[in-house]
Amino acid sequence: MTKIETQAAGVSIQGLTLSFGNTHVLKGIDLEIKQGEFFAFLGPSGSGKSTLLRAIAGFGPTPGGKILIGGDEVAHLPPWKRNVGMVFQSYALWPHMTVRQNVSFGLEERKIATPEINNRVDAALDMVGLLDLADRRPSQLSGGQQQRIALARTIVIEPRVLLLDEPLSNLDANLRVQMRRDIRELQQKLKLTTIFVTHDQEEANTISDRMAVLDQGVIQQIGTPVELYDKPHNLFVANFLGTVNVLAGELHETGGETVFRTKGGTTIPFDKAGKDVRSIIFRPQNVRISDDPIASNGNNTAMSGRVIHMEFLGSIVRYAIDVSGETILVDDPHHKGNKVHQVGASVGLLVANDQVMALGI
Amino acid sequence: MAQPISSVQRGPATIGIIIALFLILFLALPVLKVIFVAFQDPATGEFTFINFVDFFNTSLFQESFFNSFYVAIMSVLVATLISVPLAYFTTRFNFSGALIIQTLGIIPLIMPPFVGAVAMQLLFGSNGSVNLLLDEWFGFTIPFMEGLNGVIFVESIHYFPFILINLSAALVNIDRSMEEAAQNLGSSGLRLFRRIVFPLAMPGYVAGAALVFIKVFDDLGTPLLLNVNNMLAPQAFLRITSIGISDPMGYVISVILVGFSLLSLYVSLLALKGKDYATTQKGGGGLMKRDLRFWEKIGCYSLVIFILMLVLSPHIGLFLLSFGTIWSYAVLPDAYTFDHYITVFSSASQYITNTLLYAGLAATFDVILGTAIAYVVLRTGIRGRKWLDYGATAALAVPGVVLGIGYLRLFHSVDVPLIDKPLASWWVIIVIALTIRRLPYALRSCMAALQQVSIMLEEAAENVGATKSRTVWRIVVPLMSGGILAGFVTSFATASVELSATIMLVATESDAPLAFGIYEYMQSASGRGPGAALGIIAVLFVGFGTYMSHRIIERSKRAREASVPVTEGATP
Amino acid sequence: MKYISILCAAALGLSLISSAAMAVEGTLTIVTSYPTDTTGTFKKAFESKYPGLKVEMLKKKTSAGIKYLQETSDNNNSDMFWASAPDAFEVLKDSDLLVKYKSNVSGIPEKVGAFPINDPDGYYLGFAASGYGIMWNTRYLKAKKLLPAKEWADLKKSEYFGHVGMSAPSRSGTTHLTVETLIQGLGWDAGWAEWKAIAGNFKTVTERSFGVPDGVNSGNFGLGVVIDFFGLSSQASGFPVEFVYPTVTTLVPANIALVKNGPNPEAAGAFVDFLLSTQGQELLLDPKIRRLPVNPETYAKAPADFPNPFKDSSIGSAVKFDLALSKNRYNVVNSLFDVMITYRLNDLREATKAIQDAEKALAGQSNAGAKKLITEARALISELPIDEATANDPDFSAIFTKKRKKATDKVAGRQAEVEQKWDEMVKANYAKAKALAEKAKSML
Repeated sequence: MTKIETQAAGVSIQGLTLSFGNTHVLKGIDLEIKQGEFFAFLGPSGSGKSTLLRAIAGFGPTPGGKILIGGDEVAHLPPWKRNVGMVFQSYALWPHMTVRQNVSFGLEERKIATPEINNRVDAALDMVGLLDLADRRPSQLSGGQQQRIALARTIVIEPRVLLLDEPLSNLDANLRVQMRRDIRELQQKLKLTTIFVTHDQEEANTISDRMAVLDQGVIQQIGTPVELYDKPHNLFVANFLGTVNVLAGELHETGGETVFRTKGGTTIPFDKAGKDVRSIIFRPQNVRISDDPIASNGNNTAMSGRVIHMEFLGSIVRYAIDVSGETILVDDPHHKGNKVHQVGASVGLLVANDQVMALGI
Repeated sequence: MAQPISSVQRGPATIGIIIALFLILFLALPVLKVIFVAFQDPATGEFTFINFVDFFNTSLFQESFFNSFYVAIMSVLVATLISVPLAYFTTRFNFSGALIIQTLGIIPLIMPPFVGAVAMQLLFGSNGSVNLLLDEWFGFTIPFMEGLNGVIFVESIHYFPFILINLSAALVNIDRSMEEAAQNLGSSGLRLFRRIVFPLAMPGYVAGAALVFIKVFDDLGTPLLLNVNNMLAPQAFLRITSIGISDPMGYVISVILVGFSLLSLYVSLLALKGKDYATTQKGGGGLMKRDLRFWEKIGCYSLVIFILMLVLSPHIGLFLLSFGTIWSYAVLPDAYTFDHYITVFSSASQYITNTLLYAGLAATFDVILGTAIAYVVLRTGIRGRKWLDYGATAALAVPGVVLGIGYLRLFHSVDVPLIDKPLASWWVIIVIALTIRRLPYALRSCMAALQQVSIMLEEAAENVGATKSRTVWRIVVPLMSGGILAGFVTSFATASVELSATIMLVATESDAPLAFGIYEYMQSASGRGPGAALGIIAVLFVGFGTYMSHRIIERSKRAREASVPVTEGATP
Repeated sequence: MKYISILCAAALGLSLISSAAMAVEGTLTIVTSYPTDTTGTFKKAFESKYPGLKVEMLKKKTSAGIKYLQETSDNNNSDMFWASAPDAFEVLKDSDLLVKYKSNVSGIPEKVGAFPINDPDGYYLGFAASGYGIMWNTRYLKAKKLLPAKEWADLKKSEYFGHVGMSAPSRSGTTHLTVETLIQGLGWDAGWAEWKAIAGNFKTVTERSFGVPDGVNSGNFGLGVVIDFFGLSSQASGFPVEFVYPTVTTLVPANIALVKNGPNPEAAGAFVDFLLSTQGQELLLDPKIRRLPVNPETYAKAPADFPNPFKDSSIGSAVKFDLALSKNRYNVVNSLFDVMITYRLNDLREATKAIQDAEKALAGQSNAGAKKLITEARALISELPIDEATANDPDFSAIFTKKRKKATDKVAGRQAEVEQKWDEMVKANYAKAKALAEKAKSML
């Protein structure tokens, strides 16, 4: 059987701008995606992530700036000359064609000989495990099957880059996890440069090598999932990648020691010599909770407050604690027999100082 | 998602320009050529508005204007009364008469002019079958066919399908959850219908009603046949075609007809602006249906059958006429015979072949143009693309006579190379006239069809390497095929019975189409039977064609049933 | 070999035959207002006489035919114009669209009735005669218990109210002739009064001239003012209708002419000669055609009850028709008829009905006041917006034709303006007449 072999290429985006009429959707995007990398665009709806993906595929208004695929400038090329495969959110399978016709379409457009087409279509369908459904029509397939066909239709043309536009959003939760793994596996097997658009940080975290967080047409940060989670450059990134406590305030010098004083009056020792720190952040799982006030020590800062809200989530209990007028979220790992603090109870908190990050805004 | 504005727009732009030129040459220029007389001082030939001043100062024209307006409004009302129950039954109840109602949607349109009114006179005229019976049994008669009421009666029976089709489509497209949400909040019955269902179906209704209004306002044949002269279209026609008189008033009226029709199109567009709810609703599936109780069923069927009989009455009359020997001041013909059909088959087969050729070509051009215009308008960002749509739709507002005279004036001095004949007397000009006249119908179908094709499907094709033109050919056109075919059928059916423009353009008898042949036959005492027979043949031909294409549409629809995966994200 | 030589001989024979008929071949295009029954019969007979020739009949209503020839004159494709009304030919002649032709067929007299058969200037020729008359539906009259009207004056009678149909003279050249004939016969004022009195009984004014026989045939109305062949051919087709010539009628020739710059003048000439030939004249007797031949000898072969204007002097000789007069005021008469009758038919009928009712009430009584009011009402209906002298004034009728030969030519007044003035007066008069008649009735 013929094999699907792709010649993956890196993608380089330089100073890309794009607008719909007077609405500026992309405001200067710079991005390097390495050959064979699995890259995610993460952002809320309206952040421009889909527009950016479609610009790479050649859809939408002509952008300003450069898009290089494997070193070739493609921004001026029509979609059909770019050889980037795209899987649409709604799959976009052609309802008037059978599965086989859908998959062979791109090869036919490339004027490839029929036997060769058949071999490659079989290979692609086999790869997604649906060879036996070749003669069905799209409307006779389940959502997951349609998804796989859409994938097969795209990889059969052996694209230089694979673009996935929220491919999992139309699937139910279980299927989504399965499909996520399958896509990742396929990508590894083909060593295909892949760009994946999603608004779901968990999805992005689990599947991608690196990702870019977008908001309002600007890339907020690029990095591996762990980098972004642990070292967000700004509040948006911090918030988007997980729940976070944000305390506004300012730095103070007390006896040669730098502390951060929140608006509520809590002070946290702060040894990182920041210039202009306006707020500090820390994740809820880095706070410990106890019945009684705990004293601060060199590594931890103590606070005390009152439980105003409690959610039992199974593996953890999430508390909202009022500390001098500021709300701090705490995730307390749950073990059988652990005490659960009720609303209204006075509690002590202990924040690990090395988990506290400073933000300029 | 916005429309893809690709750098590769040269192709669509070229096509757009070619279509624009076609519309200018065969629609705008001929009309301007005719109506410029309206702006000419009859005495000096200078540019003037004096003729319009005359028009508004002439009481006959004021009256005609009022009458035309009154008849158009009343016809819309009567057509609404016919359509609403029919549309409501099919969408609200599990009513097995859906096929009947679908048939109702097309049958009245395939009635050749002249013969329909002749047959209606025989049935409903002051001494027609119905009145003779009424007079005999009850001693009174009903003036169905007298004066403006007669015009309203005939027009509403002829044109109500426009409302029926649009309203039914709108009702079917209503998302069931809209109704459920209202019920959930405590609304039901008539209030639910009035506050939720009706407003949601309104755009469809307005579209249909506007079409009926314009068609009736511009219609010439019906008032002429009922000898009602005090309306605008007949006044224009009578004045333009009077012997030896070249009164500019006919042209002034033409300008007013065109202008007023354009205005009503515009008003209906305005009314529809921002109200095209179809695209904001996802599920469709229509309203909740329930079964009818026994008596309700009887009621429904009686009403539907009554309307069907009414709508079919011209056909029934024509049928009787085509088999009758003499039908004069009697409920039914004196005796029956096959002679008329024998006469027709032995002498008139060329009318049939001509019609198939003309209407077939015209309908083909219409769907090609319709698809191209729809594509340019909906899928490209070419500046002014909307004007293609407006321009083609404006053909609705141009009376056939005006177009016919315009062609004669404009193209008579243009010789066609090789055959050495003026373009105006070459049969191709008839095809062009039919193409222009029926383009709006095909265009609407194609637009609707393309709107239902998700842009994603096209992008997916381009993404795997198909160029724009290949995408259109392999993805867009096949997916639009239902709508294209529907457009073809409407264009074909109505073009086969068109007379008003063709009567001016038929240059030799061997080029004449069916409607013209029927008109010819109907001009002599002995030709009435054969004329009716020819009319029946026309109805059968068109009816059969319509039925066949309907079958094809249904089959292709069933082949890729409802769960087509791409309804979401389909709307840009 | 043998077959080939036979073929050669046959081909040679064919070419000899065709060279004999060389003058007449190709296509002959005739613009005509006649129905297929007429055109088909002549086409068939003529084509079988000249096998190399194909006749194209281009059917247009007379008015549309004129329009067509005018619109297409700069690139003319038609050979002949073939229609009934002589005045239609006059219009074409004036527009310089016809060419003279003299036929060499003999035996055709100068006149039929009081009308010259051929155009004195030689531009068009008569091939048959037609006269206007009254047709009625026998079933209809029987059901409504009416007697047939045999004179124009009979149609005024109140019992015919709502039973009469006619087409407008502006729509039908022959109807125009009938209107003009009666006006010439009775005089301008009396003639118009007569028409308006008749028109008060109209059920309808049809747009097509065939609309009248059609209406009578189907029984939509009972009596119609029609040209003879419509009545005769309807009868021949089996409809329960009859036809009669009133005393005051005129026989006018139905005509044919060659169009200027026609593509095939030889064939056109041959067609004229064929029409006038014994064979062509006899075709007119066909029950579906039923026109009066212009060759007196043809009547020998006609059915027994066929009218013969050359023998029966009662047909069409009562009026001496003045063609020049008719031509002069052609459009004025048409326009007057439309303004006073066609477009104001409802008003006219209401006034007429009121007068008829008042007269019925008056019958057998002597009420001078009421009688005076009725007479006044009648006078109001009869009143004309213009007098005969104005109607005959060529400057005045120019308003309606206003064919400006040069851009500097000026015509005073516009048709719409004039018609509006007329309409104002007519409408007011009818309303007043109705009011007077109602008042008269209330006095009885």
